Amino acid sequence: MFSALFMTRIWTIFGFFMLLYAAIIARLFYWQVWESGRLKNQAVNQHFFRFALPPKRGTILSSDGYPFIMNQQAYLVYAEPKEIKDIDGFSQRVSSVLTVDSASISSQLRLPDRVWVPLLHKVEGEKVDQLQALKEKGLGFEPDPKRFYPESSMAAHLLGFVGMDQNGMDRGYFGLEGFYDRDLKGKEGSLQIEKDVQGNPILIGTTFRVDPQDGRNLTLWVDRSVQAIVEKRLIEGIQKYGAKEGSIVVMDPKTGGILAMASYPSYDPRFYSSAEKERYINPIVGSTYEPGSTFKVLMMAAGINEGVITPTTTMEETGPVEVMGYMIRTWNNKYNGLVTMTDVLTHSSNVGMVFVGKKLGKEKILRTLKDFGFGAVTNVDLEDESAPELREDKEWRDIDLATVSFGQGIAVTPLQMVRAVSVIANGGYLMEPKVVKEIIDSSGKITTILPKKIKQVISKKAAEEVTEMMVASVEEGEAKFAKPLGYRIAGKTGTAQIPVEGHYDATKTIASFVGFAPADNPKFVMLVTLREPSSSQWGSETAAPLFFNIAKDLFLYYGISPR
Amino acid sequence: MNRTIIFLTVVLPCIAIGLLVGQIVCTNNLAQDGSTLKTISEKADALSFENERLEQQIASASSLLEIQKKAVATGFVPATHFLTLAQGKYLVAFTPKR
Repeated sequence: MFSALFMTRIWTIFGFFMLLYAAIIARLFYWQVWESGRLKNQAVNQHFFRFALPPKRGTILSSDGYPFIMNQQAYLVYAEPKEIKDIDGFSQRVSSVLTVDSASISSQLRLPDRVWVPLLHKVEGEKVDQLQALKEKGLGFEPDPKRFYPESSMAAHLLGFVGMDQNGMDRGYFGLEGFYDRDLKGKEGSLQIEKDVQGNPILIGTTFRVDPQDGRNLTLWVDRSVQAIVEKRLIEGIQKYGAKEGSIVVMDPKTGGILAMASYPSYDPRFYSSAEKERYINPIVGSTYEPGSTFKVLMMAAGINEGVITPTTTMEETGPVEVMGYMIRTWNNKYNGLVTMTDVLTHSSNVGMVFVGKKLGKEKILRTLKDFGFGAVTNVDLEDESAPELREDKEWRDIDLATVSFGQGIAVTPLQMVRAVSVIANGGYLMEPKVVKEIIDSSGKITTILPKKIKQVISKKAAEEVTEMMVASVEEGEAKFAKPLGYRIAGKTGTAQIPVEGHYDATKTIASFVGFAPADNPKFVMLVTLREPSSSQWGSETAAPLFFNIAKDLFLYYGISPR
Repeated sequence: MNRTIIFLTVVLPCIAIGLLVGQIVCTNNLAQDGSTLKTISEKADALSFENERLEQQIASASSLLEIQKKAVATGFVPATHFLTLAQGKYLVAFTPKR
């Protein structure tokens, strides 16, 4: 009917249209399916403002409600290279205000395909004012709050600091900032508003808002006045006694609340990056030491609680005692003949403590160590806590049991030690130490962290008897010259040699004093440790006077009058 | 019938035009309110910023470091001697009458 040529033309045209349709379908597929996500986002960006609503990081308050750490307005300074005409001039002008290298700014701005370049984080208001005065095109600012420390570097180890994580976001490290990071940082919100062609929001347009949840505030047990007293006295003590390091922890024995915690050398959290990394760790919870004679009060308490001794039990202290071929002597190599257990504590007799250890026996000694919380973390709410492990029960030899009775051959953290002594101060209970008293969320709801009694370790009667022995130790012991008159203070000195490469270095000691006051109704329990004091190696001549000086200040502060 | 046609051809378009003008006016006002909202929002941010700055100043001024500096500058010296009045140890003037 139709010629072949005609049919060929028809099919050619048909084929051409089919190809055209196929191309159109392919293109539609490309736009509507392949590229749909990108185009949708582009459209949303054209029609909507969308920005993150950053939460405010929580404030950390002392027990009197004064901020230890709060937020300070600061800014992220950024540049938009496409808006900048003279990159070198821009870099020089901006770098002179920001005090950063001009070459590094210009090299970043010259990188290809960079539309937004962050120049410096957390720039304070004064510098931002100077930058704004430059009226540079392509220079912008975003709120980027930073931490502010009204008391400067006070309680740095306890508080920790805020740095950046791998994504450049704020993150708390060490101390409370690290432990409570999730509570403090809050939850980011977002806001999406439809905008008109001039960039103003359209009220009748669509708005999606997710409110940010501000970080929670923390109220501490820490009293800033007590903290200030402790820090001032610690630095004075370290200078006076020529110690390399020192630390002091003050705890309320009845609640386990930490009233003050200071270590020196310390660091300034505002300039944490310029401090040595090892300074970040809080020695009171993260470092160990041999407690020495301060440990005797615990073994004495265990002996009285178990009924194997009483304060008036006597023993013959005639000379050194031999255990597995090792000679154990008193600290001054003097022996007092017939002595009571109170005398043993007053004279800090190692020989007497070996007697107590033998009376207790291996099983009770090991149970005592565990009951007083050694070998396990205290669960204090600080990030950097570590706990030295106790050796396996079967590994304890007679010599180990003998030396542990006077506090050598065992490693503890200062916090473990002060908590164990608070058992005697509070009538026998092992408490969980806490730094935070209350957590307050953004709506004002207060969550109180109640004091936690873990268990009763010794009886009230045993605690009272050991308290009297500790009072006698202060009244009659080596440190009686420094004791404030009119106050009953229970305490014990300690001088532990420092183990170096498997043996004890006779010239290097950790001098310490642990005690509580007033002995009859303790307001605080405190441990003072000084590492390698050079004026005297003895705790009675260094740590004890420092303890008493702080105690005097605390008596005044708390309004505790002498008897 | 004629009245109905006149009504439909004159009144209804007038109503429609009136509604249209009304809508334009309302929309315009709302757009203007968007601009006002932006201004208010900026003002709120500025006040919030000022509030934070003042809180910071209060904290700085009431820090122990600052108080100590001011105490020294105004002539206070650390106390070295204390008189404690305890129960049973009254001074003569404080001795209760028997």
